[in-house]
Amino acid sequence: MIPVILGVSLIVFSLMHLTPGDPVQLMLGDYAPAADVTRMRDALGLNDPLYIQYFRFITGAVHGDFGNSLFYREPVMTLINQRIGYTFRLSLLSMLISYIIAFPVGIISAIKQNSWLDNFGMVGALLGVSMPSFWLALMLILLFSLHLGWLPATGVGTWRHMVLPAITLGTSGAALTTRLVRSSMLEVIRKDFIRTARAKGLSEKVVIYKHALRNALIPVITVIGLRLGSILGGAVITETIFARPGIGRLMVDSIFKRDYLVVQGITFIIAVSILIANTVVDLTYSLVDPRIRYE
Amino acid sequence: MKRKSLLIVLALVLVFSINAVSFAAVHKGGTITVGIASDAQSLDPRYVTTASGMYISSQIFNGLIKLDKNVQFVPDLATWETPTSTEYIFYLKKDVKFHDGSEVTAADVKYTYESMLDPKYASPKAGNYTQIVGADDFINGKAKEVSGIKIIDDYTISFTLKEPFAPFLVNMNLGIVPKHIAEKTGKEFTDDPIGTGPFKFVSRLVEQQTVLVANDDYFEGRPNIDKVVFRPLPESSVGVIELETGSIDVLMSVTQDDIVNIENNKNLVLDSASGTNYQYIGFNVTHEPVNNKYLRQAIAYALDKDSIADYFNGVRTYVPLPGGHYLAKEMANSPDINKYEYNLEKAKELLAKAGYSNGVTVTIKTSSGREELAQIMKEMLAQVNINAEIQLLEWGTFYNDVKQGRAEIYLLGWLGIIDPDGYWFFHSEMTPPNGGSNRMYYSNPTVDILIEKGRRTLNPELRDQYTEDTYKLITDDCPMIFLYSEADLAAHRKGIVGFEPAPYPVTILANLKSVYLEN
Repeated sequence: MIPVILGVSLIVFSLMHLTPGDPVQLMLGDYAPAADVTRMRDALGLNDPLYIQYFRFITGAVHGDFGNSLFYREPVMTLINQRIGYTFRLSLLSMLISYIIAFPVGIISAIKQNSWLDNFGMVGALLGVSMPSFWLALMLILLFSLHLGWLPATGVGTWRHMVLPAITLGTSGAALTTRLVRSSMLEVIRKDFIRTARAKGLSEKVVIYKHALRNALIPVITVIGLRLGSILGGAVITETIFARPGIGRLMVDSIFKRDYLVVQGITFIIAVSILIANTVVDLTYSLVDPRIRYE
Repeated sequence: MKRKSLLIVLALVLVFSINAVSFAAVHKGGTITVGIASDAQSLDPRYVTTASGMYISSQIFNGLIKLDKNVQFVPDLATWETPTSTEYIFYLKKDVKFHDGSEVTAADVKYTYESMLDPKYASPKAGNYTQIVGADDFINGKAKEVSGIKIIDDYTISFTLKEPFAPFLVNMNLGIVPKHIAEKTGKEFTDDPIGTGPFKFVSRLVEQQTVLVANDDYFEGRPNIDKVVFRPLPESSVGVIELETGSIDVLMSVTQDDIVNIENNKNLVLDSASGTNYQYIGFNVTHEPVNNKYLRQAIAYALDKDSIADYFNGVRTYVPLPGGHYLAKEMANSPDINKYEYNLEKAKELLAKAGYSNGVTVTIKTSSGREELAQIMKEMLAQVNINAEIQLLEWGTFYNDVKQGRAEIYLLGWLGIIDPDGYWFFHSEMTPPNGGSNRMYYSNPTVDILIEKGRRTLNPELRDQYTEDTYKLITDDCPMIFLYSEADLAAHRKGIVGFEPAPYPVTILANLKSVYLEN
């Protein structure tokens, strides 16, 4: 895990510093003469050799200190702490919405393959995948905020502020997971042990939920795990349109402003989250399928 | 005689009734929510570099002077005089209080400017004040204070400059901070800013909202409204929807695309002011093939600039000034300024003179937002056998290429131009890497001298003459093609009374103190 994190941090650090564009120039604007730029770069430590800057970053990161944002002049950790809760809550709710839709639709589509229910589910899934999230977000705002006036369009504060962004973010996830659950189920329900279960006289409910679904879950859990790790940075468009504070938006803004330390800090945290999520997923496999054991 | 008296009485009744109506309509109290494009990166006026930050900060702080809606300098915390061409004396108004109740004195003014120049605080604005005597020594640690900023008494302070500098007042609207608080809180001053402004800081939730309340003791009288809330809305189309639904009352980030929606909604009012910006096509004059003046002029003639200005709802400008600026208007009628009116024959002649009668390929670099202009240019230039290749780049990369001299032709604009000083844009000292903003790498010794004379002249007529002479040479050299100025836009809901459209950086918020809700 540690070599992976070190590798990720090195790649991110190098990429940010190789990208054309100077944070101080972007911050000071056009009028700034070279002397001011140099003075500012000195003050921010950007004139130090790259290996010193990297060393400073990595030793700080170990202690949870990612330095101060060049643009906001606040500790990166403070900026992240101010936003991470919003991103986390939104992402969890959107995942919940997507699985509440995906599992029933995916299972029904599989057991009623080629029926009108299956076709309906798959057309819905295709639509969900195809709709760009910014378009869906604007349509939801137009309908529920402007025309019906039921829900607020932007901001945070109450559960009502979460509904539209969570649906926007959850829709594509629901579509993808529906297709995955369906195909995984289709593969499992054709296996011999399912035929055996049915031959034993087990009810269809038990066959599907106890035997088929459990076995079909392995690939689905893998994808859920991957999403869990990446949700922190994956809600940029939704956060921007719904004017929600969030890690994704902070990261993209910081990339445009070449705010190196913020980008490095967030990437570091996302990388660690993905690693932790993957470890959790690996451990979950044995719960779902007792044949999988870890030594 | 009787009839005359009756008329006078009637007139008086009319005048009083109008006043009575208007007084009766002024409603005290209420909250106004303002939608801004992004959250402020700082509320400390010494560090604010974004428009959003300035909108909020300008409600909490006052500068020594300010700009009125006609972009003219007027007293704010102080009146001023210039006894000599290098000395500015500011007389502070008495009994002006900071939000903590302490009085504003010259010591606060001196501290504000010195702390900003202090390298320890690394203010991005420090470079604006290096014209003050002793500023360089202070920045370099050779002096403990800036010798050119002198406290004469508690309410009088003088600024002495190294040499006469006509645009000096442009940066004297910086918000004044209380020394006794800012000294203690240092960089954390932005978390709980205390100024003298019409509104007091209450709270800030990053990326969500900043709340201010009316300052009951404001030296120009308490604002009519009780509270103002600033909310960042990064997606402008959603901003208009929020205005329509009533979630916000004012939207500061109105784009050209939003105009139709706002004008078609009877509950909304569009605030449009003649903009202080201009859009231009820049040439790197050291870069082949546009290092050839005749080719640059050919390109200028081949572009139908009137149509371009119409297409983008802009006001055509012929010089590096916003179209609405009085000098821009004067120079639009001057026979000495080459306006490069659309003329394909002339373009072809100049192309031949440049040695490109068989055509030439040029590269236009631009960033998101101006790709349509690049496409229009490409089509227009094709008519005279100039093949324009467009490179659309991410902003940071594009900006870096322009600065590093790697952009042969680039599309950009200048915002907030209120002074005709051409130093920043056309003087050879401002060429990168030493300077920052002469991105054309343009150098003309005569232009340099004229610019220097202009900024050292405090006589307005003489300064205007120098400016016109400078722009005459610049338009002939054609390092830039001046296109148009866009209106500075904002919008508010009906029922809010008192907003006065004003260009950036003044904006409708300059008058927020006098605004009131109808109901």
